[in-house]
Amino acid sequence: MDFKIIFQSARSIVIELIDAGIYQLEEAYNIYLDEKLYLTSDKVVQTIDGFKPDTTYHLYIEQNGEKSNSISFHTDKESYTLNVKDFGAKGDGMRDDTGSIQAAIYACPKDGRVLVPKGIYKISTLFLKSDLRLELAEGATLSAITDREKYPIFPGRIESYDEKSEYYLGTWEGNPLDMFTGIITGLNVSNVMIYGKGTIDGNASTDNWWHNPKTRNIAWRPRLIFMNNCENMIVQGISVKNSPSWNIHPFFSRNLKFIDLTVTNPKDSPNTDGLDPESCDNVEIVGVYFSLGDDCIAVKSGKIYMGAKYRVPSSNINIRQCCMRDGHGSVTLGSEMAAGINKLTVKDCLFINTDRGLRIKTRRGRGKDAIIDDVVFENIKMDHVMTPFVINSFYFCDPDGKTEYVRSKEKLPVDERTPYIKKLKFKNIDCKNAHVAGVFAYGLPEQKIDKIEMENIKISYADAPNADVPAMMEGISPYTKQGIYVNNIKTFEINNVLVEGCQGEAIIAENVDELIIDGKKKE
Amino acid sequence: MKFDLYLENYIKNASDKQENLSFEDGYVLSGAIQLYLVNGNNEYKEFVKSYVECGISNDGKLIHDKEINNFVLGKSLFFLLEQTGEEKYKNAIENLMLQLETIERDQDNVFSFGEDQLESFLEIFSILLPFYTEYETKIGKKEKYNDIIGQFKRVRERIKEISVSQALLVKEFYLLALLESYQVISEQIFEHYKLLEDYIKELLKEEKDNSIIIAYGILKSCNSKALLKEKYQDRGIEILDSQNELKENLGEVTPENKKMLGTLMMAYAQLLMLRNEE
Repeated sequence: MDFKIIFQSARSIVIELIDAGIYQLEEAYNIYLDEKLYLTSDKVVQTIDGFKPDTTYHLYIEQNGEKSNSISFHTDKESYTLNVKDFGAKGDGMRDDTGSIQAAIYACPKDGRVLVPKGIYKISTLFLKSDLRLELAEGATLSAITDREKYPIFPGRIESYDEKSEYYLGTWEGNPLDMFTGIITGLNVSNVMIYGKGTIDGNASTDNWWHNPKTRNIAWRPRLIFMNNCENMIVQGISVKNSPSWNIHPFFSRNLKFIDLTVTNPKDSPNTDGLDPESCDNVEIVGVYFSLGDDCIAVKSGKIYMGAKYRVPSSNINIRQCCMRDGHGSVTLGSEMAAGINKLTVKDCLFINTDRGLRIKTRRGRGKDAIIDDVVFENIKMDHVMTPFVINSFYFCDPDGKTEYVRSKEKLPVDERTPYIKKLKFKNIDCKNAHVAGVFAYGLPEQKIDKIEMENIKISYADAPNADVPAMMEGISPYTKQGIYVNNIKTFEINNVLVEGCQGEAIIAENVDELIIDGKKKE
Repeated sequence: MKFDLYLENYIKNASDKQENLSFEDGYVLSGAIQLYLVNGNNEYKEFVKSYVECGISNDGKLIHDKEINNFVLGKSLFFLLEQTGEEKYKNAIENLMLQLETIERDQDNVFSFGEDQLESFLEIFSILLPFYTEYETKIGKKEKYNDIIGQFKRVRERIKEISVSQALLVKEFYLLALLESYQVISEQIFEHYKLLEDYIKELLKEEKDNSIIIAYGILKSCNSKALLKEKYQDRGIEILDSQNELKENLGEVTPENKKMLGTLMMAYAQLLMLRNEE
């Protein structure tokens, strides 16, 4: 058993076991710090904290008498600790502590730490600043006020005086629209770390933010953590829950790490996506647990206007050792993806009780820059995922999805509105207890999916499956235990793919130019 | 102030309402709605209500079935439905929509009203498109936005070809269609919302002639933030001020000056809204 340190600060590190399994081990292991037993864990990605700054420690792990190599590490330097209670915060769950914590944040010097100790701190929005380390200690909760009148608004766009450009601040579902500022908001900041064992609770419920969720009320709902044009951002260790809308929303940002987080919302909460990088580059999502009411991770790049105007795709997204539970999609691409998504890897993850495992949502109208390419899913276990693989080029949700242009299965001209799905690869994936279908992939007749490659895949079905539609598109009815259905694909190549216990044919391929099964081309 | 008194007097004593609505009535109704939304004076709402009830029956049937002038009631029907929740307004909206669906299209798939003159065509277009847009936003699930935007695009091309002598009136009608549609299109379909905004800005920035409708367009666009208030509101106010004499001497309301009165009411409402913001 071996491990590596994947994150280090002045106060904590995160280790990741190497080749030890997916997300959670069957047997716990011990973590020894300076030769003393410090912690027992069963997680592949584990935070270890309680360190002093600028100090050397020695660490090894042990499981069933087998020891790893010992690794030495030296924690980062830290200048000052600014305890928010010294700035007037009470943490009594009553007083509005926004101003006090904000004062501490703005007062924090480079290499300093803002410490939020145990307590319940009522806040509306906290704005981050560059070079900030914000620590939420164990037992500390930033508890959001739910009165929308207390929140500032980020206008969707502000026109420059010369009328030549626009400044974009607010965003809602891929469009530049007025929104309440996030409970934690980063705007044009860099080198920020939010970490610790504490919690940010959005306190959303059907009595407040989730009441009439599809209707704009003054402004659109806030995210729990919102980052607009930020870089070198790390969020580590904390729990976030009950978000008014998407939990974590990095937007036009770069070099981001989300490590060992817990993201929870009720199963029926509206639009509570877990983590939605939108037009972001170089994003690492590691060891995160999701249980929520919408997509666990949804990678995006603007609906139409922002995507077409700025053409900033989401690129270099690396997701590993995560557990996605209860959402609509485990890892979703789209549906707002007008600037494209590429170089996305999902590896060593558990998908449990979600409606769909991989979920690609696109449709005509997203535009010629809406290109999905180089997507790899590898070494994944799914259990009770209704339909493990869904690629839908006719996604109809949203206010403008139910048009003849979107729904038509006729071959329409390829033009500036036509999206494009290129290469997708799935490897070493075990899908137990599927309910609806194993694979449902439907490309556009006029712009077929370039290539889907599946290798070492096993799909089996639940004994008592729940009927549903495999994809949100018009013209399909709920069903159960279907095998692999693909349509409008140039090359569909499958090697060692086993579909056990489906009803009807295991593979139905329509309008596939090249079908390769176990190395042999089929006519 | 004289204009306020004049309006109050007119609203209280208006006796020119009749079943055969004219396009001019549409301006007065729009002005009354906008003034109500600014000052909350119930008399404006009652004025609209009594006016509309000349055109629909108690169960929402359109009294003059298939009359193109029925669309003058469109904006008012949505306004009254929201204000009262009464089913008859909903029924009348649906009946009006059924009527809209029977309107012929030309080779460009644009509504065709049998009018040869672009000016006359646009006058109808200016009351029909806002109703169509509002219906799609509030009832029709936005499925027809592509059709609506397509028509705006194609009509814009036609306007570019007109002679200078026709220009102002034609542009005014097109501007009204844009302004009232922009107000009710969903911002969530942002690319369409933004396109209407861009067309409004283009038209207002290019237009050098002054008229009450241009003033209305500028002031309304400043209120909706389609135009930068800091840069444009003064021009809107100046144009409106230049019409003061006209405003103060309207005299008895006649079919001839009703459009003038209605557009003055609309522009005045936008001016009050700007002042309230300040």
